[in-house]
Amino acid sequence: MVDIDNEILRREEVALLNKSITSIKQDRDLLATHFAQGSDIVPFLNTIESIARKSGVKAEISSVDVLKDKSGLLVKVSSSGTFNNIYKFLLLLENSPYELDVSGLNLQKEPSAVVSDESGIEGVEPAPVVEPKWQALFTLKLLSFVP
Amino acid sequence: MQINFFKIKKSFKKRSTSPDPNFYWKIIMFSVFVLIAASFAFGYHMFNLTKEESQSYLENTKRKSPVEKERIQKALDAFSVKEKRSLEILNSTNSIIDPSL
Repeated sequence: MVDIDNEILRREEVALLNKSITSIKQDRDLLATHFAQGSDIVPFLNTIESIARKSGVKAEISSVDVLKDKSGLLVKVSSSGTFNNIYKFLLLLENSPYELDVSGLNLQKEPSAVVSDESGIEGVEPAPVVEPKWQALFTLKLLSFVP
Repeated sequence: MQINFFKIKKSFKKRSTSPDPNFYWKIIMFSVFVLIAASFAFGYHMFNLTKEESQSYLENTKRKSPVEKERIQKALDAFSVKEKRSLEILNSTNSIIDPSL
């Protein structure tokens, strides 16, 4: 009698679980797009590159490492562009579709180009104002990572 | 001379001291009827108890459901807010002044 009761309870639990899983399938699939799988991190890297393009900086992923405790992915991105664009890149990374933690940023100005002295001479067109370029090395920790 | 023939008894009545089977049969019938009625009442009572138990079990399992829909929705809302912020940043015309200038 007890076995029958247990079996009935077990079946009811399974039915309930199946129902719950079906009801959240759509949300689950949507949530999965915010996680990078250890077996395929290409979509995540593509997202970083896409963000860089949108913000107008040149970016290159210099290293990708799984953390020792496998709790996340450590990605280093070196980028170059104007200060405004690099700032925009930083903001977009913080608001990326993945859960990212910007754990380090090394920002330095690129050596400026030599400006021609002719700009002061009468009759000569002044050289266009070139915005200085900056280089930034981002250290990102991907938290939404499934090893 | 009168011949005394053996008289045939016409009516067969039981003696009053012997048990009356009809009376006991009625008692048995009544008992069985009561027993059947009691069984129906008991069955209905048990059915109600089981029904209540299964309902409370279902309510409990709903509460303890391993699938936390609210939690997933909360995470999705957070990502949705991020997406909106990203669009705002991309469409923003405000520029940050280069500190080296």
